[in-house]
Amino acid sequence: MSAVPEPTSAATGRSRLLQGNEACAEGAIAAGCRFFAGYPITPSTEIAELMSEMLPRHGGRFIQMEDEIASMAAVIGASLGGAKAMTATSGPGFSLKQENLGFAAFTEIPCVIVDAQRGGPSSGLPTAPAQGDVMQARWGTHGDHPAVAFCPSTVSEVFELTVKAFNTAEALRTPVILLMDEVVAHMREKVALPSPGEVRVVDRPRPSVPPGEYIAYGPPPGAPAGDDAYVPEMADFGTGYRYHVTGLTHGKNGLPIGPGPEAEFLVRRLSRKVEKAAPQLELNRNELVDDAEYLVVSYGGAARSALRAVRLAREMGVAAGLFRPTTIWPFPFQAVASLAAKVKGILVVELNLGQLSLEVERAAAGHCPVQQYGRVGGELMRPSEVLDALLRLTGRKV
Amino acid sequence: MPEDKAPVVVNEAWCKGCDICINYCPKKVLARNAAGKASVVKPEACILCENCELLCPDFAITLTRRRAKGLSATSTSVAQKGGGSR
Amino acid sequence: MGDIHRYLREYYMPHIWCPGCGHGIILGAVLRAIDIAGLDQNNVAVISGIGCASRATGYVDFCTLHTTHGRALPFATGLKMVRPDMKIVVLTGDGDTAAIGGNHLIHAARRNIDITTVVFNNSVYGMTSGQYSPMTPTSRFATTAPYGNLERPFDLCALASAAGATYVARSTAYHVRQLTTYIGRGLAHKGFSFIEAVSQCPTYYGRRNRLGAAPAMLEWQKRNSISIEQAKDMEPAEREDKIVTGEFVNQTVPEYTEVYAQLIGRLGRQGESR
Repeated sequence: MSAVPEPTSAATGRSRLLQGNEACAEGAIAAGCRFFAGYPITPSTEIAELMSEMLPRHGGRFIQMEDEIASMAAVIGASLGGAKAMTATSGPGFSLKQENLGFAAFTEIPCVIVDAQRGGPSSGLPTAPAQGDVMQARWGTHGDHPAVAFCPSTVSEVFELTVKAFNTAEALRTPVILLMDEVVAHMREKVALPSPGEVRVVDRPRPSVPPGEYIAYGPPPGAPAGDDAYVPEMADFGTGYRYHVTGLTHGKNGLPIGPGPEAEFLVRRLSRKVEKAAPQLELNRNELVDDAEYLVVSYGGAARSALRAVRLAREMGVAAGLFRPTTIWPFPFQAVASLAAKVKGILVVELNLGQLSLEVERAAAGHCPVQQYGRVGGELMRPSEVLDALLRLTGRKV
Repeated sequence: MPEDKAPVVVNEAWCKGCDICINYCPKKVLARNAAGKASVVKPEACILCENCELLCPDFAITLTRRRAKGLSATSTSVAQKGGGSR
Repeated sequence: MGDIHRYLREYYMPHIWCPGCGHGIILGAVLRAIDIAGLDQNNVAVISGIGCASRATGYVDFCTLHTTHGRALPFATGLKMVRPDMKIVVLTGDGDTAAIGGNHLIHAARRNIDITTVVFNNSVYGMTSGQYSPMTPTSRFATTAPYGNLERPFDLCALASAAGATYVARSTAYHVRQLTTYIGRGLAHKGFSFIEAVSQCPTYYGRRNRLGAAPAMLEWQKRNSISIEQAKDMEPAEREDKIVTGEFVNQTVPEYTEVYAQLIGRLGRQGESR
């Protein structure tokens, strides 16, 4: 159906016909994931099933916890023990994980959370696609916090972005969300899996000082004076470094503190460290945008229909292009802003009633009209629907 | 006898004046001082029963001497080893 | 018993607990049990949830993890899975364990994962100033039970036993030596060990229920405690309001992380081919 470009990084090695969820499990193992905790939920369950089989073969550990909350908790505990750790879920489970996701963000414990989005709200449409969790991925847990979320559109990209999710989580010491949807999770495509050794794997910064000099949430040795966006070095529990981890607002030594400048610094630093890394995280797989007069912004499964629509529009003489961010959080604000200044209009295509379109509107800042085309009935929009919406934006009669 | 020679040392900075030690000392070694904290008033009476140390919720009491054999950790209650209280 | 101050983060003391709170006594028992067991300080992780009892982790000098409300056990489970060599101790309160974390308790017990859980049971939510908990006895008063508690409390040790915990004991802050012994046996036990430590909250529970100050509440623990043997000969009505102390379960059952390690070993021998 689709001609979304193949990723370039995972190019060689053996080719396999894989489901998105399978590619996620393969990517996790390749990235060094050695712990998985999960709870059965459609449409992400295959990830747990595969991890239960693969992890013990790789010396890792799998556990099926009693609920979604416990799964998220176990992942954080395992990561604190030094293991790269992941959980996978879908909408209702993603809601349940939010409190502990915030704990991981605040305590800077790396972990990967997969959300295979399904029709919502509530139990919704368990076997049908949606992209209704975009804002939940950004703001689902309470309080100001950083968020990183990647959205794959192809099975190859699921593998690639799963690896990137682990590497980002480790490098920045923050939870990273792989925001899939049911289309991508259950679709099968040919994937060229890289051979071991071809995958770039990043590990968290571990202490460069002995335990007596270690300050759990202090700047790493060698950080420039006044660094307000640093990533602290992280000691694994059980390696001689004794320190405190708490979800209460904490000082550099990890112990709870009250209101004041130190609390202000901590909350701001966490957001700054992710903002600072945003240019390196940004990855937009665009098509035909250079001379585009009309821009379609789409991501994940919806982008597959959007790309087809853009090509059909070109055949009809409309200079359309696709802007497809794979990193949706942090949102590629500047890239959208500069395109908005050049084009005549933007159409945001997503499986919701308007979520990422809000960010697009902010970035466009009135430079061009922004419209949203969404579906929330559990069906992926057809390319023809997107084309019609695009033509309406151009003022053509449909 | 000055307190520094007493077998029981009270860390006044941590003591919250709950009176538990005073109540469970079988020999009335401890009493409340003007600041409302526990303080040693009869050091010579101490029998090193450890009741005050074990029952202090504030980690504010430390014994500087211990019985040679030590108290068994397996006895069932303060009262059995340290004598009754009130 | 020896001095336990070397296990404290003295620079963070005094602790936040109210005057006469039993939690400090129970934490002292935990530290003495760790000391007697001769555990490597670097190889002990102490994990807690939210509430008065759960603030304990801030004060003790181990790898300490103060988690979200009710979730100490699943955090501990994840850590134990990847660090099976570590001694994992969970310190938690009655609201944390019996209410919001109740599901985690029964499943940790069911798995028989090697975690020692000490519940500081003061029958009340202290951190939020005195609401009734699943451990508040019927007809006792709390800020959310102004007409007396209409609910029945759990028997937490019976719950843990039924769920499969392989070491289960109960004692009180007053019986601090016995409590230390039970915690020590829990630490030595391979599997899920559960120790309920009855605590006193003079500030909220004691005052609202006219139980007197801390010494009087400790006396209440002393007067109302009976052994398992004594309880056997009593009518249910007589046992009401009594604290049954002793060891309820102590049995050997395969431990979860050991079973998992055996699986890894078995698969390793088969090779990685599929």
